[in-house]
Amino acid sequence: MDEMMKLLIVNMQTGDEAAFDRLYHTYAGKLYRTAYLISGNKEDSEDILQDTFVKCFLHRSEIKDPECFEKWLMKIMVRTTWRIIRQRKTVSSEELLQKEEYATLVQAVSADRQTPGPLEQIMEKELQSILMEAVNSLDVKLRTVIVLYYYQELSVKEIADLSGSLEGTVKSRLHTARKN
Amino acid sequence: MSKPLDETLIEELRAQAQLISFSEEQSSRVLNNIHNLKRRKITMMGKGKKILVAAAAIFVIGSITVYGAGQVIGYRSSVNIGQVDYKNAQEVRKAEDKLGAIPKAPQQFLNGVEFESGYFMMVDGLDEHDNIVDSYPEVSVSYDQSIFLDISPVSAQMSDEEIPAVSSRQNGGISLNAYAIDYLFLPPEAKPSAEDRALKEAGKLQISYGSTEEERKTYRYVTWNKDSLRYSLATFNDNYELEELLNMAEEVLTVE
Repeated sequence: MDEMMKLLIVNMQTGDEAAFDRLYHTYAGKLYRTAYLISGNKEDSEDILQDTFVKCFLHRSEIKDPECFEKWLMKIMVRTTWRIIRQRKTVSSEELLQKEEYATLVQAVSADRQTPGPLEQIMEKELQSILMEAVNSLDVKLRTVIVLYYYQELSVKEIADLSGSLEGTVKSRLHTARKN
Repeated sequence: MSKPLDETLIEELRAQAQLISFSEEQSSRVLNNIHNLKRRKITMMGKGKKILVAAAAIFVIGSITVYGAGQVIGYRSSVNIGQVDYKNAQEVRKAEDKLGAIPKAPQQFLNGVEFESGYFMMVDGLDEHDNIVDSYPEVSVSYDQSIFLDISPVSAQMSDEEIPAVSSRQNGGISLNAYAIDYLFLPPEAKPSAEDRALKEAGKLQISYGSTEEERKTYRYVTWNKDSLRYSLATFNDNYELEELLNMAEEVLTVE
C-alpha cells in the first residue's frame, strides 16, 4: 500500500469527508463486483456497497493498521452481503438462476467465447457454462468462499479471518463447493 | 485436454466480473446515498427516541387533559454517532455504573443480526415550554443498522403500559409486551391529507414532521423490565415482525 493511500485512511479516520470519498472511489468497483458475484443481484449489490461504507464510517476508529484496511472493508462487505441476502430471502439457487439479469450475464460470457473451433473447444465452453451455473446455484456461504478464493485470490486463512470461520471450515466449504 | 477446474473457475469469474458494469453515474448515486444514510441514521436514532416517548405521551394526553407547569410531556436525546461508546456487547456492561445495574446485550442474535455499535446518552424530559425538567441515563445499542436495543433504569422511564400491547409473552416471570405503531413522516411544511388526519384522530396513525420527504413506516417494539432496568427492542424494518422481535427479546433475557 502506498503512502498516499495510508494518509487517506488516516485522514478518513479523523472525519475528512474528501478522504472518505476518495477511498470509496478506490474500492467501490471491486467491492460492488464481488458483492454482485456473491448475491447475483444488482439492487442488493448497491445496498451492500452502501451499507459497507456506512459501517466503514461508523467504525473507522477501529482501524488500527491502514495496511489491513482493504481486508477489513472486505470483511464488512461479506457480513453485509450475508445479512442482506438472508433478509431479502433471495438466495435459493432456483431464484438466483431465474434472475433474468444474472442469467443474461452468464449467457453473455458464454456467447462472448463461442468461437468456431474443434470439438474439444466447444465441449470446453459447454463445461464452462455448466460450471458457472453450478457456482451460481451454490449456497451463499459456499459461493462466497469460491468468489473470494478464485476471484479475489485470497488465501484460506484470509477467507477464514474475514468470514469469521475456522480455516478447516473454509477448506471444507471449498471442498464441498468443488464437489458440487 | 480440458483445463484444470481451478483455472477455469478463475477465468470464468473474471469474465463475469468484467461484464458487471458499475458506471460513474451508479457510483455517484451510491455515494450520495451513503452520505444521506449517514445523516439519516442520525435522524432515525433521534426519531426512535422521540417516537417511544410520543407513544407514551399520547396516552398521557388522552387521560390527563391539564398539564401542570414543569410536567414532562416529551423526551429528547441526541447522540454523536461518529463517537461509538461501546464497540461490542461485552463493553456495554461497563455502563453499570451509569445505569445502576449491568445492562445486557447479545453480540449476535440467532437470526444472524449482529451488534454494530453502542452509545451512552442522557435523555432529557421536556415540559410544555421545552424546558428540561428531568433527565435520565440510557444505553442505546444498534444492530445491523436496523434494530435498536435501548436500556435505562426502570424508575426513570415514563411507563407505556397503558398503550395496548399487540402481543405479549411471559418468560421466567418477566412480561414481554410487543407494540406496533404506524408513522407518517412529513417535511416540516407539509400538510397531512384528510384521510391521514382522520386516522390520526382515531389514534391509528402518528404524524411526525421534519423528514426530507414523505415516508410511511411501522414502528415495532418490545419492552420488558429486568434487574431494575427497562429494555426496549425496536425497529422500523418491515423484515422483522413482532413475533421475531419477541423471539429476539427472549434471547436478550438469556444473556449472562
